[in-house]
Amino acid sequence: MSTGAELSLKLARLPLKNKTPLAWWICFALALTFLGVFGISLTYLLIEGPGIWGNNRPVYWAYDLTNFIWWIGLGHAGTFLSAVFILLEKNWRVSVSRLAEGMTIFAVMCAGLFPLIHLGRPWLAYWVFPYPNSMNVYSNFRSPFVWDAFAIATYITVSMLFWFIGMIPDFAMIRDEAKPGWKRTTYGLLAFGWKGERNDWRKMKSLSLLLAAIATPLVVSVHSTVALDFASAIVPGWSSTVFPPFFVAGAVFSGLAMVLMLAVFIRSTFDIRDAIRIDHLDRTAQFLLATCWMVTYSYALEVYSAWYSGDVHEWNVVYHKMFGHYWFIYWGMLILNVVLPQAFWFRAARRNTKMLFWIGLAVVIGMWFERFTVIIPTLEAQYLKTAWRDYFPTIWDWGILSGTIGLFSTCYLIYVRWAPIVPIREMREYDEGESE
Amino acid sequence: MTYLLANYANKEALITAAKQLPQAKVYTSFEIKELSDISQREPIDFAPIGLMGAVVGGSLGYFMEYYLSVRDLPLNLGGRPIHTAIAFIPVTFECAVFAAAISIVMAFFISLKLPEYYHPLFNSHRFLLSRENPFFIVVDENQEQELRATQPLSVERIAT
Repeated sequence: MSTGAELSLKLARLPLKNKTPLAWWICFALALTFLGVFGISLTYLLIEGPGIWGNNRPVYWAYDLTNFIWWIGLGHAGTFLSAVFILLEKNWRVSVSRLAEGMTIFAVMCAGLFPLIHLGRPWLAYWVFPYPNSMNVYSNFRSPFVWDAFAIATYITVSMLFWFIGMIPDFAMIRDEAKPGWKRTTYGLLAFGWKGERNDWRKMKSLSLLLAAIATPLVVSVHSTVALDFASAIVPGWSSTVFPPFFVAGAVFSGLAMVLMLAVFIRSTFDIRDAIRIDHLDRTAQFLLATCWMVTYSYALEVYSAWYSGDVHEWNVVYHKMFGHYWFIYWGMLILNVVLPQAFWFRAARRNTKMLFWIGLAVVIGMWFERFTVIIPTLEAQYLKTAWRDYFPTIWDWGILSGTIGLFSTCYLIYVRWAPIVPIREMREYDEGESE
Repeated sequence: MTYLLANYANKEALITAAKQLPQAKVYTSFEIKELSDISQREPIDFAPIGLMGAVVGGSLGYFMEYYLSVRDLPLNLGGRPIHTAIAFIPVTFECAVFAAAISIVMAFFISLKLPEYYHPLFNSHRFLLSRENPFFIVVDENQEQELRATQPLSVERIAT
């Protein structure tokens, strides 16, 4: 049997195995615990309202917005790795693309929760969309918040289509490998009756390329639209044209870091080192290093433009970030996002899975710090000093944050256990030299 | 009607057979470029469908913004113009992308006639995409001689 055929069979059998690895169970138990925390925090929030959070005047947006941007950013790598790299014909993306696409869906799902729960009355969230209503009131299309709703709804829809359509041939292989029973029926339903005729493949390829071409501008537009929430505000530190590219670079940076973490976990837990290969992780790490420098440039530019503007309010914000009561978040961000990823200049670090995992985790945390410094110290120190006020999170802020991590982990662990986490047919094409 | 399902040992044998039987239906578990090159090419027109979807979606998006913001509920927000074309771009763009994606995906499913949960091929115990050699050809039974000349591993009759 050829290596490609062996690997295809191994990957098709993976979701059908009855035995689940112990590491998966441990992580799943932890994830369910955090999901429980989310349930409690959300229930209390819905009963009491957002007053249980530490938000104050002028820090109207705090953890909710920080977490929203962080999750949206993490959700960028999936579509980026799949769509952009399909168009660029970077075939090494194959092994990590599916796990990144799934990450995108669940991360955007977690992100979407924050604007909803921040409303106070989330059951009225549909008011943001224009629909014929007896109040005769419509959303204001000049507001970036309405753009956000459209951008995120489109992004998650296109990402889900891209993700699901790519899985159809893999579901067909799992269907054919499963013994008659509920598993074959379930995977059969998901496979939509796929047979793999040569014209079907041509159509599938044409569709994948078109969806990639459509999804690529979306990757840029979604976080740019989110960044416009900030850039269009007259808040010192926010009102800047650098925000959209700064946010997009940061999003891809954090998403790639998360991909590295998840890839290392999945390849060792499910013993698929022959599918998610060290060469692929090496290249992902190289790409992470490139985006690290884009983000570093943005950090430098932020300080330089505040100094060069000569605007005392702009400078106050930067000074407050660096030396205010959240100084450790700012400097921690620099260490985690700028200093630690420099290890990836060295080939030995890029090929060491422990290093990949821990630096990936460091960047994911560092990017949360970055979202925190963009929002909270900025809002604390606007204009007149008499209006300045410090923000401190409450236990419920932490509950919601850790809860969404639980929600993401639960969904993701279920996904990696029962879905084709590595694209089976694309790996076969890659190994058989059929990828372009 | 009866068809013949042949299974081949490897992709090279399949490609050779497909060249000798250009009208045959060829099934594999992954795409083989050479097969696509020698196939009876059905036209694939997803791109114009996507473009049409984008134009219709984008136009509807812009019209919705125009109608609601200018005609139905003209809000004076800080004296800004009511018809702000630039501010209408993001929603127009998202509507265009959304409609383009939905239209090409629908076109894909319609052109492949999916979902198709019953097909005579699924009755065969050999037609399994997960096999070691997922290389199949299906021809009309009156082409049996030509099919056997391609030296398949097995040939099976499939009744519709």
